[in-house]
Amino acid sequence: MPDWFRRPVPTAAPEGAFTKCTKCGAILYTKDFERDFKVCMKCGHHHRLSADERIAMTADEDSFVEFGRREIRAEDFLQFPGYGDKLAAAESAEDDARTDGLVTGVATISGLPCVLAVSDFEWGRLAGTMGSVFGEKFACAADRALDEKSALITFCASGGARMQEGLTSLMQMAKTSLSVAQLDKARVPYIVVLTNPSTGGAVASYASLGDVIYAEPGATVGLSGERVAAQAQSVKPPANYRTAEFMEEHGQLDKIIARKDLTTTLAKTLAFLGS
Amino acid sequence: MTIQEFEQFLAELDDNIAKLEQAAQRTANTTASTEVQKLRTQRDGYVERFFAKLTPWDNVLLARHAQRPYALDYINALCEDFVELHGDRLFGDDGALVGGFARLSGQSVMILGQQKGRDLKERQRRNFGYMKPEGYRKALRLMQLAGKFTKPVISFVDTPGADPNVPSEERGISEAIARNLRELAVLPTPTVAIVIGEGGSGGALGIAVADCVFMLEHSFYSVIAPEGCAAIIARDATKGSEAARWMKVTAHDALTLGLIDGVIKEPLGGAHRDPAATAEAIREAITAALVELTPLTTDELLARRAKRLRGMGRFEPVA
Repeated sequence: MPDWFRRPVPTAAPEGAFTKCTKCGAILYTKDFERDFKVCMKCGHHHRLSADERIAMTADEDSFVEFGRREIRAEDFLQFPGYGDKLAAAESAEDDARTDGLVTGVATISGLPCVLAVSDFEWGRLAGTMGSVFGEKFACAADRALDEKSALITFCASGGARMQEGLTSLMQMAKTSLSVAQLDKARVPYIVVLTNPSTGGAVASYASLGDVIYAEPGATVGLSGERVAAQAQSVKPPANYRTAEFMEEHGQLDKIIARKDLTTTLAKTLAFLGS
Repeated sequence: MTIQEFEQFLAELDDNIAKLEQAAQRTANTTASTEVQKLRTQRDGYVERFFAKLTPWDNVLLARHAQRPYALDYINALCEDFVELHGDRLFGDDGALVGGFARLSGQSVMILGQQKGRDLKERQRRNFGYMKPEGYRKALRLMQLAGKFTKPVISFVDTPGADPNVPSEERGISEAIARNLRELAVLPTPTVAIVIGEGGSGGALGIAVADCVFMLEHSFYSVIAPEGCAAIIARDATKGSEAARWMKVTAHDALTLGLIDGVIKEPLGGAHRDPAATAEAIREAITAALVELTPLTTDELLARRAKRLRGMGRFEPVA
């Protein structure tokens, strides 16, 4: 048999050269995947971004200046089982490690100034939940937006209030809503982008109060958690229940925007609202 | 002994005392009368001892007690000329929220209350106290009406949570709650909220952002139902009693955490054992709050409220 007829021994692909889509299972070139902002080119699934990735794709290059990175830290004041350990493990060992999942800073988008408050769902395996630190950092970001009269843009990725902080975490809903009321009164634009997932206390407070509310395709959006939603139904929920698409269909948000168009849409929005 | 067992024991005791008393009166037997008196004191001792060791979970069960007075019981006991106002002017009228104007100790107030039902039919009509978007919008409409004419708003909080069903999501339950939080933060009139039973998460908060927040001694206020917390943390919804302990859901806990302004004492054995006395205790708390709030100018009031809301949260500075 001629040599060329033989199947060549496959050489192992370099580590990380390929990425598997978690939705459709397609094998994607990591380079292409990253170029597409982690959107699967086969099925269009929007994979989760970290706050840093989000900021990198949103803000003008080198324009982002973070504030409040390491000023306050969560406390396990209820001695809630496991919370102290989680908090201890959440902060990485680096000197400048963040102390919470909400990343706040000033930036420009297409040259227009804004304040960014970006939730990191993965931080500390705490599902982007709103505890006291989240509330305070969000309020500080809103204060900054008020001072500078520049728009506040928030990217929501949250499982809701952080029950490990009990009733205090519920009050963060009131606290963040107060900040939005202050922006509202001062006519400072407030823009919300709902990413996967935006649920519970987050959507029942600051994340439903944007002057403009955008969402990413396929993002889970809804008040009740999955299990509650499944148990409670008196009627069979539609297939797209608790998604951005369902919310758009029922007039609960302004527009679903594919990730590749998000930054330009935000720039247009800022320009319109006069940031 | 759990609270249910204790309540059963108490009911039997009460029953026997009542029978004995009747017999004593019929026969005009003085020894029997003193015996009745002795039994009463003894019973109160039992109740006192049991309530001294009340667990957070007992408290949760008391807050959900089927005989516990509901918002309308207090409204009827406290107010004169209550005129109920209906509807959100957008979609419908939510039976889980009653509201209207009334006179309370001579003062005009807007009064709102989350209302559960007593019997099955009423429970269905009131959706077991789970408010829908139209309920939050009705509440907001009434509160803004009160704001327009600078009448104080009194809210009675008693809900397991917001309605989680599909139609509510379709009509924007999240938006309805969120909007209330934003608007109540800047409502230009004094607001007082009293948690009388279950303070169920965002569904409660949607009418409970206020200048003064009180809780009845045996009510509870929680970010998530204890059963829900247990289902997530321990993967076992039956561990609600432990979750109630973890999350510190009682009125005294909320006061210690600085999240409420006061705990309103309940009669021995809980509000349901003497609704009239409970109503009077509530009246006192409301009156005291209004005495403090009414003299403030709108600017002072809103600054006070903003400072209060902004100050909520516990964290430590990074060294």
